[in-house]
Amino acid sequence: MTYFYIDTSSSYLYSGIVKDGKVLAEIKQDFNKELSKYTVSEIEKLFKESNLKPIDIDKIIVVAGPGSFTGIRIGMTFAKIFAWSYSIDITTITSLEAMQASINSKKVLVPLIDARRGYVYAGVYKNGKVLLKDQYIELLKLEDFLNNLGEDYFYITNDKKFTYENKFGYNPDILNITMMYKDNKAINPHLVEPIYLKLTEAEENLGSMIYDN
Amino acid sequence: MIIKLELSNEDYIKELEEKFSDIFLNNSIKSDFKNNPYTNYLIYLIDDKIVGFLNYYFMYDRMEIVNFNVLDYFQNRHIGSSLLNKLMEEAQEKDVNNITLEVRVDNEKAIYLYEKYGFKKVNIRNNYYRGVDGYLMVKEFNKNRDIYILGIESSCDETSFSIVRNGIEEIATVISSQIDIHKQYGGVVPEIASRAHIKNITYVLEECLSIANMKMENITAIAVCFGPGLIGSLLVGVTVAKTLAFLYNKPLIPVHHISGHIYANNLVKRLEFPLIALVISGGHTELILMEKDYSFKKLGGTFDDAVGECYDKVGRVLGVEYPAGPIIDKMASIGNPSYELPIPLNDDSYNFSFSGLKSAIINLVHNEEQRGNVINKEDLACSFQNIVIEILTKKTMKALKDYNIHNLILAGGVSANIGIRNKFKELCEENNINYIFPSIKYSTDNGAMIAASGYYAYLDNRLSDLTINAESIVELK
Repeated sequence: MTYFYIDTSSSYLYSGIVKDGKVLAEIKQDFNKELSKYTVSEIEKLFKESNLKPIDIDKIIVVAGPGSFTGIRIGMTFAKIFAWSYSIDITTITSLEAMQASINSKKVLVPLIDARRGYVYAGVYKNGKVLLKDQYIELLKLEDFLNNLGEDYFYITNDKKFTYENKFGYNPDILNITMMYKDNKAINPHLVEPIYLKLTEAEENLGSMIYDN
Repeated sequence: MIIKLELSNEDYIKELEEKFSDIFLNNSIKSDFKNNPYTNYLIYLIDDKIVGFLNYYFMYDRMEIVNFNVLDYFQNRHIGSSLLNKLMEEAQEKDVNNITLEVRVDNEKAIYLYEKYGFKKVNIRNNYYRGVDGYLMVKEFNKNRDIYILGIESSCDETSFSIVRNGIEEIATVISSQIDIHKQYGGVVPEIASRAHIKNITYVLEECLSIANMKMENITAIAVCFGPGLIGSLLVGVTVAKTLAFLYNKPLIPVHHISGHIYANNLVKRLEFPLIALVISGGHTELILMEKDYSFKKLGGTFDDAVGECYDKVGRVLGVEYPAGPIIDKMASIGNPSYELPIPLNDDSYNFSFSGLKSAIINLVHNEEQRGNVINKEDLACSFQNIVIEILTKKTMKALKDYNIHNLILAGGVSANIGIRNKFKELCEENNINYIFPSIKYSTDNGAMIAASGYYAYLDNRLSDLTINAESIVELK
């Protein structure tokens, strides 16, 4: 089986092609504000490097968020069109799932993304099992939850804003992520959508729920 | 050796005229060169002496063999076929549609040779050769000449895909409008627009291909609006285009939004040049001069609000829901221009300014309310629209006159305004100006206009690699 992985939920392009338990080609590069400019051309290089054609892919795993709204849509658009074009199975995972799958530890893991104004996107995991579902949560509430666990835990974050001592940096292990989530149920490409975990400000102000993510 | 004869090769010209004097008795090669821009001569040289020649016309997308002869002594030495080979090579290179020729019906040897090269008899020309009939023979270069452009538009609140054949014929268009979503916010909310685009893309693309009964493989090239517009929205369309270009190995054509609006008219009628385009929409108010396809010279634009933006803002004052343009247009048609408003930037330039007009209306309404007067909304709408029409027509008609141009096109969402259309129609007819207005369904954003524009960009070789990016602000070039 051949898997294509893509995550553009930050300013990094994380993408790779995994075949028979090996990473054939991957990229982990910070493109800053130019992520949209280079994503497709860099993926073209991955295929050249791995000597595969897009049609050789059996399943696409795309990170659906949370993270940079604009960033997510780049990888998500690519993945949707890719899956739709060649009728390739596609499944989504969250950026927090990708983070926790990249750390090899038996401890409680807390992938963490800053969402500003005292809020974060976070989930709590242990051995790949979910202790607290991925969500948009007030940091203080999250800390409460963790303190009540009665176990050691480690944050996963690259954000320098978080100065915790018990933290791992995030460097995606594309092989591990793929292996952990490869059997996720395939979704109709039409229905694949980013996970924002948060309404837009306009929607919040209006108090209406157009998107019930 | 075969060479192409040039006017400067005086010795060869003289030699050719002498050796084939029966052909050139009354036709000097020099005058042919001077009078006929399409003529070409291939000459076959052995030891620098001419032994045969082929005279043909190359006219845009076709060729015609006019004269073809080899000296008797050198016949049956493949000199004729070598000359024909050379011509075929050139025909391929120039990408012509066909080559035609006439031949005497009794010239069996020549007919045999032509048929060997794929020429077919298509007609008999009676008495073509002083008593002898001639065959008209044609060699068609069987290519799929039709160019299908997939156009993608996502610069604001419409997700649209369209397929257009040869820049003029719309095959399929699907527009998914988010207007009902944004209505409740009184305008387009960028993040919500982006979210709706990504939700829609595969549905809209699939429906478009299905209406056209085509597959991505049948598409010649992919055109996408890359700006200006809302960056988050543009990015979805641009990423779709790049992904499709990569997956199906298709050329990628970046199209400027304004150029798209201009070429929406090409779907009504082929543009005639030179022309003046008045682009009026929620984001643009521009006068553009075009000498030919894909040549844009901006004569002027707005210093502040776009005309459509002004309609929306005045709409808020009048308590009209977004988008206000069509409603104000309707109100204006039943109102009287009883309110006095200033004509903004009423000068000799081709520029516009609408923020002053908007402020004047806000002040007027405020003052009337202070005095306890009730505003007649229809009258105010009419007064406002009359001013807009006056300034738009004045500057546009001036540009047409100053540049001595007889073709006008309107473009952009506001060009759907009936009041504006009617006034332009009247003035154009008075002044003998040809005009095209986009069909109402294509005056707003759509993929068809991007595909139509993309076709001419494609012909102009304005292609991009996979690193093209969306741009929220970008000049039309």
